[in-house]
Amino acid sequence: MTAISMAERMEEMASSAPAAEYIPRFGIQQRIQHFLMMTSFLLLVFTGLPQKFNDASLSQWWMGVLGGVDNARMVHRFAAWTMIIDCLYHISYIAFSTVALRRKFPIWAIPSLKDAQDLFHDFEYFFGRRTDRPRFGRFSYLEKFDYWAIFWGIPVIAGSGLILMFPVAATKFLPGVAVPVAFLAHSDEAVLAVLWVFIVHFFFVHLGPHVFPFNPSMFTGKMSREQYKVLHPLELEEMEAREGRRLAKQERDEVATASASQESAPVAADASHVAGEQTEGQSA
Amino acid sequence: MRKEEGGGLPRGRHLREASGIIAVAMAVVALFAALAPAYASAPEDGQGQAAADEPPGVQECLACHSNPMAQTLPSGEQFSLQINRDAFGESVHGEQLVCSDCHTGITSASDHPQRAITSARKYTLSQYELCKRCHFSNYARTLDSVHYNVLVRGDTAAPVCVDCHGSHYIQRPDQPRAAISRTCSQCHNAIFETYAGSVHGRALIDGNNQDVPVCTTCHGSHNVRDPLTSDFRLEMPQLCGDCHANRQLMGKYGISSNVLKTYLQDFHGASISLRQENEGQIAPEAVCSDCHGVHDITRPTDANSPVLKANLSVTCQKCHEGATPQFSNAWLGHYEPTLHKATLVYFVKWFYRIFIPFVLVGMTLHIILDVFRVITNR
Repeated sequence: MTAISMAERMEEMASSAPAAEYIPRFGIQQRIQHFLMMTSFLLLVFTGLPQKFNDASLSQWWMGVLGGVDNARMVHRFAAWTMIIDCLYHISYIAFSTVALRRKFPIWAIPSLKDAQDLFHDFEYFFGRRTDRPRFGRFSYLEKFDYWAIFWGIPVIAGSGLILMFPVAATKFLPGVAVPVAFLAHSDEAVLAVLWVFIVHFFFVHLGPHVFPFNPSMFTGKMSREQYKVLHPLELEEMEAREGRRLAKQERDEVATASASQESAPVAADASHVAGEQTEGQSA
Repeated sequence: MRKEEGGGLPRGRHLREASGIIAVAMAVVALFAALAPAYASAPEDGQGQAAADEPPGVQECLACHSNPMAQTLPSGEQFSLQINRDAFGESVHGEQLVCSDCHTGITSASDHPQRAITSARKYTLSQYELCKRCHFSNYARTLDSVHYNVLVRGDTAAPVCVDCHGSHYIQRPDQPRAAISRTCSQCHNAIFETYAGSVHGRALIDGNNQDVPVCTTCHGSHNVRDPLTSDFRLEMPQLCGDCHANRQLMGKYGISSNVLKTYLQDFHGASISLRQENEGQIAPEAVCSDCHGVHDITRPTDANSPVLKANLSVTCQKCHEGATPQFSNAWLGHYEPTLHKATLVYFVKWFYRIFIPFVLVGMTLHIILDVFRVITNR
């Protein structure tokens, strides 16, 4: 976490909550992970799609712009390794923060019964049987779907990509048919991923009625209180309740320490630091 | 070996098939030159009498030039000046042209300037461009040929029009079809021998097959290209596909016409189709000839075929170091995956055919409903 965003967050945490305009949503680690995923994905798409649709004249033109299929493949492989490393980074980040830092396991990202209920609720709303939308916590069922679709897509596309990158080595322990299967799966899974990102992900995240035309929270790390109230009301309520408890505790501590000695300031700073860590653990 | 006027006939084990009218004509000349002394007027000597319809422009010249006559050149060569009247009459030009159409500058026996000919080859090279007066487009094509490149580099052995077509006794070059490849074999004999043993060559030479490729089918005739360029390599799938993707033609022989399609769908073909002309670099992905051979193409079922399953991994090793038989199983042999062939590939294909629309239609429906509700709420 950079000094600036840490300072911002501490400020937001420390100041009395309702007045703050923005609420921190994603830590710097998560933003880096998303940025690497996004850039490597775009590079993979722009160097991969013309290889799949190789007979289209647009692909031929684009290959010329890239300086030939060899250049495109070099970029494709570089981006592929970036994405693979990014995914390993993501997994180790979760493992490290739960095992080593003893933060709470990000259970709020795991699909639950409430997600099915929310989906049903949403359909009732779409068909006019209800006037309210479901109230979401940290992640809505759509966001979870978005995350897990990629989570399961990655092993398929990376695994098949590695088979295609090292076909001779792969057939040392896989049957030969693995190569044409990988060839097919790699390109079809890629088409699914492209359509998914450019239709589903874009709509859920950016083009929805409350965020249109662009939701910058994954890049800035924060979201306005107004949006938070609409998109993640349950999480906001939890945060406010926790903040209220923390403030009450702080008040009690201050009363206690003020009567004991004059050195209360460092303790208060320490306490707000701990609170900041906890929030980041949650957003994992 | 270069064909010269009145020279010997091509020798080889395919003499019988090769004969053709050119060879017959030359044989007649050779026979005559060997047996008949200078009895120009003898009616039975093959020179014949002037035909009634022989144009005066030919008659006048042949009055002298049908007799055995030769000139000793400064190079020491005996340069024959004799013309076989019958062979000329039967040539494609026999009824079209008179002597002075090509031999410009000579109008009659009296107006017959002496020429300073130093060697037969130099004379040929100085005269062959006469052909372009009528055959300009074919002449222009030769300027793009690998043969012309050799010629301009100063190699006088490079073939010009008359080396392939002959001069006075020109016949149709593809009568019979095998004559084309035999023409090329005059210089490229080793390749011809290889070709003659291939599935294409055997069908042509033993069976007089009219469909199989002869040299010019792949290499071109007048604009013969350098087959070792990167561009020739990139075009090879289409070149072979001209016949092998022709369903009707392949159907005659019970051969699959899907080979080009399946090749282009696979990694090698997809890569080749993305490589640009004039890239310069030789494309590393396999094209037809890398697996099937070039002039020595066999049936894929032949015991020594490089694409027979038993031999395939060795063929793969040409590019893929350490390729095992398991690796070569990755190649589906130009088959499209079906329920019975490459079943797993077939299932994966269908999985995505169903899964992609299923997911996307579902999610798009969700989006449309969402948007619809937002609009109606307003």
